[in-house]
Amino acid sequence: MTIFEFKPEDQDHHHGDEHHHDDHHGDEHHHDDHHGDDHHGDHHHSACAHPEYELLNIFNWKGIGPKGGTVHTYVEEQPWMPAFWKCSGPGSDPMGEISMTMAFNTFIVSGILIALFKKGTRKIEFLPGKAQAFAEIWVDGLRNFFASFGGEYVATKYFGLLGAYFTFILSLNLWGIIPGFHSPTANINTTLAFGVVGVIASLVIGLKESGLKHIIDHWMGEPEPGDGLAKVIGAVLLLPLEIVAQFARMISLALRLFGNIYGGDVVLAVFVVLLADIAVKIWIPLPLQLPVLLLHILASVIQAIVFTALISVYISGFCSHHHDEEHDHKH
Amino acid sequence: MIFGDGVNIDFLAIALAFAVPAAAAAMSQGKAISAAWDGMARQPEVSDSIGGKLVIALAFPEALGIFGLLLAIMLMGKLS
Repeated sequence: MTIFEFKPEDQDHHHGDEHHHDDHHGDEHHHDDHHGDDHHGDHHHSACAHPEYELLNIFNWKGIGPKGGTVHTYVEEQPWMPAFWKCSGPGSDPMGEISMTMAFNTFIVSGILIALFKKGTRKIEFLPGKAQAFAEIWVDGLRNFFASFGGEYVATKYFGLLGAYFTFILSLNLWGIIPGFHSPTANINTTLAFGVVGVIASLVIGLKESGLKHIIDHWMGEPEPGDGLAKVIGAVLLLPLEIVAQFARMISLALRLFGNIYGGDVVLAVFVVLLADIAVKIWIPLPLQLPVLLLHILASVIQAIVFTALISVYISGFCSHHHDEEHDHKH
Repeated sequence: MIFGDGVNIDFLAIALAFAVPAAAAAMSQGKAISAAWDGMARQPEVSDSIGGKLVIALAFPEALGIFGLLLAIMLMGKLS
């Protein structure tokens, strides 16, 4: 009952037995429809005849656990697992509905962060203890860091939003590296929530800082007061484009973070399975996924930086009367 | 669509969905990085400012490559 027992020859036996074949893939409607239309009865040339392709599809890995199911069915069969673990793992749909696992992991991480920074800031002393020193270094370093993206004014005034975003996203990204836990940012629901809240927050801050009139004027390309033609062109062509761009910002923020973390997870899983396949053959386990893991850690940090930096750039684009030199950053 | 003895051309779509955006993103990122490092070599005193802006600028081509990767993963789930 090795976990990664993948037997290509097992699937070859099913070719003559159409009934068995359909049972085997009864849940894969896309697969059956596609090949049923084009090559009905020609199962020798279906995708199943090439298990080396199936090996790369983590949703269909079979032979996991004593019953030989997929990752998903194996997780569902475990009686000792609490329910909030069960609807996730590599077999679940990361672009589907909100899973309890994701919410559970998110709440654990936010609880840890709240406890850590509460401990650091509860009793402020002149000579800081460990927790207070960490909080001070973290906050001061982050503030200086954001000042290089969105300017000193935005980084200082809206540090609450930016610092919380960076700390939370970084923790969520790195949380999946701990065995037994999953990155909540490898689920589209989490990242879409982050993106929507970030862009709406930047719009609200822009309304507060420069007012609706200034924002509309800015979006219309800042026409001269007497120039009627420029105003019409700005209102008809540029304004709808900028309004659509706000939604594009939400989606691109969400998909960038989700794609990086989920793609890293998938690449890690593929590497682990391929190397386990090799290890079974040569009887030497090789941890060759380590470079991929290091790359994943690097990508986690960079994506947290990019997400926060983009939000601070969006905010500073709305506070342009404070920062005229930051204009060229607009998305 | 099947070529010859069981070569499924559908998987070519998956490979291209990842490879073409990745190549384009790599080319555009290479241009940005080369320009930024040229600037840093000329004026080392502003290299911090340029580096920060470079990270933001790299995020946009990176996103397109990531969209390709997502598309490839989704297609793989649909086809195989």
